[in-house]
Amino acid sequence: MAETHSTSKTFFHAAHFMMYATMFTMIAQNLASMAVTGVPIGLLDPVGMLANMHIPSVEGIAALGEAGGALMDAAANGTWVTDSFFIDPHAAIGHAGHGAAAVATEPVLTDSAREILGM
Amino acid sequence: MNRRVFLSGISATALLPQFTAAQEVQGNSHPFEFLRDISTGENFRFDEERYNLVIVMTAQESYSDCGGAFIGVHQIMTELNARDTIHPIMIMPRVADQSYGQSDLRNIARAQRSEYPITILSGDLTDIQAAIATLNGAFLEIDPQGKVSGHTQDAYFLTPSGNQLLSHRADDYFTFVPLIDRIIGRCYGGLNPSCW
Repeated sequence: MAETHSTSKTFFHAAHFMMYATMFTMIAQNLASMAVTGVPIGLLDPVGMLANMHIPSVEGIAALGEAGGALMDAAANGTWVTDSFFIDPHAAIGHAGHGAAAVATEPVLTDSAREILGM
Repeated sequence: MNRRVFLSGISATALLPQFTAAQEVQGNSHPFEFLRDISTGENFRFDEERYNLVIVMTAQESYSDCGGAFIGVHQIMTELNARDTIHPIMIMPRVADQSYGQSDLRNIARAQRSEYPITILSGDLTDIQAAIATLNGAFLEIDPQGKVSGHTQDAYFLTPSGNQLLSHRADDYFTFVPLIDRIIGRCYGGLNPSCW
C-alpha cells in the first residue's frame, strides 16, 4: 500500500510552524521596539494591540450584555415590553420582538373617579 | 379524516350560534347599567355594535398573574382586529372596598394604558356583586373584614346587551381567540364556514 500523507502529520507541522512564527514575531517586535524607542515592550503586548484593533471594546460587550440582561429582567419581573403590561412567564409564550418599557403602577384618576372609587 | 367526520364537523360548526349585534339587541337594558364608568362618571351605556369582553379585577394585584388577563384581552383584540367589534370592560370593586386599600392600584394603571381602551366600571359592592352574578361562574373573594381580596380569573364574552355567550380563562387567549372568532366570524384560523 502506498504511503499516504497523514492529515494529523500535516496539522502537527502546521501547528508548530505557526507557533514558531508567532514566537519569532513577538521577539522581533520586542527587539524592534527596543531599537526604535529604547523601550522594550512586553512579549504579549503586540497581541493586546491586535486585539484592541479587531475586537469590540469591553465596554461595548458589556453594553450588549446589559441590554440583554435588562430584557431578561423585564420578562422575569413582569414588565410587558412595548405595551407597559405586566407579563407572567406562561403568558410570554408566543410573544416575541417586544422591547423593554417602564412599568406603570400609578393610575391617573380624576376627582370624579376618586369619588366613585371611594378614595 | 373520513367523509363522516368531515361532514359532522361541518354540521356542528353550522349549528353554533351566529350572533350579529343588530339581531341580538333587545331593549335598552344591560346588567351593568347600575355601574359607573370611572372615566366619565356616568352610568354604563352599552354600545349596540360591539360585543363585550369582560374581566373582573380588583385595583390591587390580588394574584401574581393578574397581568395575564390584560395580555389576554390585548391578544384577543389584536388577533381578531376587534377594535370596532368588541368592547373591553373591566368590572372592579371600589378601592375603598378592596383589602389592600389605596396601596396598590396597578390594575387601574394597566387598564388605562391598554392599547385598546378598557372601560372600568365600578360602584357599590352590592351593585358589583349583582352585575357579576349575571356572569356564570364569576365571583369575588371577600375576606373576614368584608373587603374584596380576590376575583374570578376568567373573562366573559357577552352580546352587546350583556347576555353571556362564553367564558374562558382570561390569559388563555390561544383557546379563547378561536372560540370568539366562531361567533364574530373574523375567520381567524379559517374556522368559520362563512369564511371558506
